[in-house]
Amino acid sequence: MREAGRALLAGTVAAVVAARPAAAHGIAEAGATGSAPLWVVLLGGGAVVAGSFLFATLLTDHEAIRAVNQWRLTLPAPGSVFARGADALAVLGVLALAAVVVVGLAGPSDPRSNLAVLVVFGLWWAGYTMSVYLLGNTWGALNPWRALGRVVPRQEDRELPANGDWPAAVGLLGVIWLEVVSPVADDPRLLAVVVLAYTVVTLGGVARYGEAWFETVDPLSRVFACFGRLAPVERTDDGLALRLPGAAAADWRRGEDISVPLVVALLWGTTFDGLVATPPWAAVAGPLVDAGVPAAPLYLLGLLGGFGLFVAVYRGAARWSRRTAESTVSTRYVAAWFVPALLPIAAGYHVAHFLGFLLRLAPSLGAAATSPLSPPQVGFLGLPGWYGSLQLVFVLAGHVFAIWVAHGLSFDLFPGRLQPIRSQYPFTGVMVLYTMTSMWIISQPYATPPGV
Amino acid sequence: MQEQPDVEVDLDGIEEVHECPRCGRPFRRERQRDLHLGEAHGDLTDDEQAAYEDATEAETDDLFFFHMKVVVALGVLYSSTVLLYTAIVGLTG
Repeated sequence: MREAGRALLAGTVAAVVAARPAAAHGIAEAGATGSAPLWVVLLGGGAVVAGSFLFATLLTDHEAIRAVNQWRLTLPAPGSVFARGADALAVLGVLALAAVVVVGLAGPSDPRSNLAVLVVFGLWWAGYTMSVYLLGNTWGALNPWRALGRVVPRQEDRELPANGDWPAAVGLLGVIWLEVVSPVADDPRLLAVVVLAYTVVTLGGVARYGEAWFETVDPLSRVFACFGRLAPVERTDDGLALRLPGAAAADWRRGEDISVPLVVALLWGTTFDGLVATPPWAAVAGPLVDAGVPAAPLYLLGLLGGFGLFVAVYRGAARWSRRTAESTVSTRYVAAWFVPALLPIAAGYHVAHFLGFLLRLAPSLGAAATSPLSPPQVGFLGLPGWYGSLQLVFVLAGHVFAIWVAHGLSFDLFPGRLQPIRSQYPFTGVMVLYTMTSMWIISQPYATPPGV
Repeated sequence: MQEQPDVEVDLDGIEEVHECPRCGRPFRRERQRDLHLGEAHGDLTDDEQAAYEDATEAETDDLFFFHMKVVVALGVLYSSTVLLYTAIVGLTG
């Protein structure tokens, strides 16, 4: 099913950037007239990001930048509404978890009509994640493991190590690796087993370390906490506050639950998930797999190697930023200070990658929900040809937001008006390159990842 | 006044620093320190106030020239992108 989703995802974009030799991939011969070659589209994307940075430098008033990022519209709401809402969400979360396990084990074996697969990959990882960064983070209430954790016997006799940044990042990379190399998206039984295993690990962690498990180690809770920082709706003591999108990320202070490895793992993980389904990856990994290299370690190597590269490039940009800004602030501090600016990029890439996937699956989801154990067969929802350009717009929009978030952060770290701007040269350079890379991945036709 | 981050500094290879007399945060340039004083701390002494105003003025002058360059860069970026697209559409259309 993942293949089907990805194939369509890639195909629609390919129709937009169609002037490439169509025969090479046998796609997208329509629309070639008048549309730009891929490299021009990529250059254009890079130019938009660079241009956004130049525009941002025109706004240099500390007070004005802060006023924009701290603007809030308070919507008063009584606490009881939240308490009841949270209870309802917790029940919903536990019911959904139970349904995924039961339908995964007892439902149809075809992933395209199995509710468990559709809920986990379509409704939850594609759809729900979007609601977290586009609306607000409700995972704290919905998280079924948190609800179940309240009833497991707890020892809580262990303290988590103070620096809990790495376990969550490693856990996240592990989940992504499993999703890529195992048929977990194609085999509902396996999916149910994986979900049960995750449940056992998580409840074990809660029993031992208490709620701190979710704040520190649990990769899903950490990812949603990060994404929630982009959302315009924020929970306050008096009710809800409406903010500008991304403003809470620009307002993020060190010392709160922020982690360079985790955010970089999130960004790289989404990129890797797209990269393995491209023809260039198949061209590299295919011969290796054919020569007898086992796929699981090969993909693990690719995942970890790319992660190491991303961390190194990001830290390199932070070190360089220290120089262009002529600052005494340590590299480590600069890297952690600006890491929230990577979140809009991850979110933009997530929408580009998963919105079409969710829309296509919507009819199957509806059908499977009405009758989970013997759903009627329905087709995928077709998407219009222009959807492909929309995907590129999502990637670009994420980067433009990232420029703004980084701009706000820089004015809070450095004095004056030129030093903050100069601190952004390296980050902007890296971002321009990354924009073009991810637009390139998004526009690649689908190729089956070899060996998995 | 702007709330100040509790920064971690690394002075390896940095020969001269200018420390903030209030919070001790070191800066590479005197102007950075003077600007920081005015932005981060209230009730400056007369000397500090004068230094802050001088630094602000110098920063404003530099910023003006910087913005001229930004406007030129934006113009070049915009026109070269438009030219490129026009050429491509002309060639392929």
